[in-house]
Amino acid sequence: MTSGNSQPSREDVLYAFAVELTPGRDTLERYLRDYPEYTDGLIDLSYELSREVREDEMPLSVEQQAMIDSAWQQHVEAAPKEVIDPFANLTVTAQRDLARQLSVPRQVITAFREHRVEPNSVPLPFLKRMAVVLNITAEGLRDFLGQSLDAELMRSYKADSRPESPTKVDFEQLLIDANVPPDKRKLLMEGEF
Amino acid sequence: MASKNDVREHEVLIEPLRKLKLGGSLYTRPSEVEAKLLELASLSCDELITYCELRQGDPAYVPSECLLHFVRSYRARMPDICFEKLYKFLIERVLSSCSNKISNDDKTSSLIHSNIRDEVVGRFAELLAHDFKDYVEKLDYYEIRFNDALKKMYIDVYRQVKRGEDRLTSLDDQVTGEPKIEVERAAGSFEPFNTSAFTEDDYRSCLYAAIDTLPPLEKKIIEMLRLGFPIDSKDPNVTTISRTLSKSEKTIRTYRNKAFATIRTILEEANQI
Repeated sequence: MTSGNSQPSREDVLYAFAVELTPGRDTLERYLRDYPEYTDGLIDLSYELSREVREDEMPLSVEQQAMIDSAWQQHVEAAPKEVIDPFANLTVTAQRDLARQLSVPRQVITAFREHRVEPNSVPLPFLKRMAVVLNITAEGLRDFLGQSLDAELMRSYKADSRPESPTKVDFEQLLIDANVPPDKRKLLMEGEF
Repeated sequence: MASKNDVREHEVLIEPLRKLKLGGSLYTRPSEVEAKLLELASLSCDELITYCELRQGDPAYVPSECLLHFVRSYRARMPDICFEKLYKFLIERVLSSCSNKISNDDKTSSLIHSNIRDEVVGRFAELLAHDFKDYVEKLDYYEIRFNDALKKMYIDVYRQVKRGEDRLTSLDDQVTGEPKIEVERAAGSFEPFNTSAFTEDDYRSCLYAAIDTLPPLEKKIIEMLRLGFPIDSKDPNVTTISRTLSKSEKTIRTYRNKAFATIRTILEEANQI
């Protein structure tokens, strides 16, 4: 916390002035008297505070939308990188629902759960749809899929001989292996299903 | 899996602010913000998002102070879809409050304000990113009066951008050469704030746009006049424009007239007077 006894910074004084409940001449006069070193900023801010703020009624422009997306992207990159497992608490019924909502066989969901899918091979629209249903960000789901599968798979092997190093499978190959018909596969790959 | 009836985990306790006032006591949120937070806290994520989409003027509009609070309540947690949407709404509010200063009429001014807007959005996003890791007390001001705190950030950025644009930050730089006598005549007894037209949106909008074009010293004089400060006084205890800005009474009057002349011309050209 900030000490109340030390000399307040310009930042603190101007912010304090900005959030005063009763702006106006008396308040400005008090601040000018107490903090004459910040006269310029206080008068400029007083003028700015008198201006009405009207929310822009126009729909967002492409440029504005790009700014918002860019800010979000930077935020995600700066966020803690702990990878969460969105399938951890998913019951069998919920997995079945997920498969139905995404129009894919259950084994496709299982491959995602075991992060056996190459994340970069998953079409973005499909990834986003799955993320929405799982209540996770698309970036979070991609991070989860990007986890190495060695450790987990090694633990699950019970054979005496060491298995070959497992590799991730492309999303399209996964659909082929799951006997998804070509026309439906095409739609899923194009993100239109 | 997300359900429409899922209730967010974070809203039961509304965390008190941590920033201290200049006098040493803790800041608290205005009672109306606190009441709105309590009202919104029981909503599901989907419901909250629906409310946050409402525009200013709608009775159920979610104030930016509350929106910010919910975004901050995700601190140190993994971002989810709900957070992403709330975060984007909040950045949109910042953009929106800066965008209405950008006019399409004046391309140079428009470019400057676009640069300022971009910088404000960037700085605000940076504050949020820091707050996500460690509590940033500065954001407490935004939970008290969001738009006014944002204006403080706006003037900081404005000063920096303008400094780069025309190096016109020092008051002394402004007082070079006295305005001509014609200016005084043009200003006359003009009182831009003390007119019935001031109640009209178009007039006020045009007046503020005109003041925005003034050099810093003139702008400060106009602001102090607006608030009713006297230009000069024999009483040493009175706060006057002359003493505050460390200029002679004559200089203040001269630049007041120059500012009035500029404002009057702009208002006349816009058919506002």
